[in-house]
Amino acid sequence: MDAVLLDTTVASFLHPAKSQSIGRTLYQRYLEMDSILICFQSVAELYCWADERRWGSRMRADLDFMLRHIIVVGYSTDLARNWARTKFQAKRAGLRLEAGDAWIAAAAIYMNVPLVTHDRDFARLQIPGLEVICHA
Amino acid sequence: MSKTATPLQLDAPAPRAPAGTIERMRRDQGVIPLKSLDEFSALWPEGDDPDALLEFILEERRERRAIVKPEL
Repeated sequence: MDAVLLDTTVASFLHPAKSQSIGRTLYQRYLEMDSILICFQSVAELYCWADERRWGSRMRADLDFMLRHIIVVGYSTDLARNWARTKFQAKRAGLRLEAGDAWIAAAAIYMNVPLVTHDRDFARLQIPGLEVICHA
Repeated sequence: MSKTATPLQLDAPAPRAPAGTIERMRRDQGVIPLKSLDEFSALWPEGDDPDALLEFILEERRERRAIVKPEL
């Protein structure tokens, strides 16, 4: 089965206004995979965006409905173990990983799927088990 | 029994999701299937600005990352 974990930054390329964009073209094959996963951290970032833009109830309901088409990787004990291991391995490599970034990286590692992101900071992470696809 | 009898293998990843987890999550969450990327795309809330969203996410992350020390 083809599956990827979409970072919030790539989710923005799903917008209809981006249908002809270079970004959409670069990530299209991943956006069309059988299983699209998203980490709960990305869901929180999208809700943060809705608050920032002071969305009304209609747009928030639309966002929730869109999210019902995506598999959300939520909290679990094993995900937390992966988060801790990811932080440890990054620290040993000389990088202090921010907590939100670590949840996203750990979700991809735990689910054993590539992380598709447009955030180049993820591309420089050298963590065992983490495959990053980034065209930023 | 000694608490240090079994050293942890910290080079290895922590436990991975077992086979079938994606399908189980899809079922448990009642994920609605999609036929095409266009169908998926059409679900995005109308009136939103995707470029502003991308910039907002990246800026939020820059601010969060600035709080933690980048190098040990």
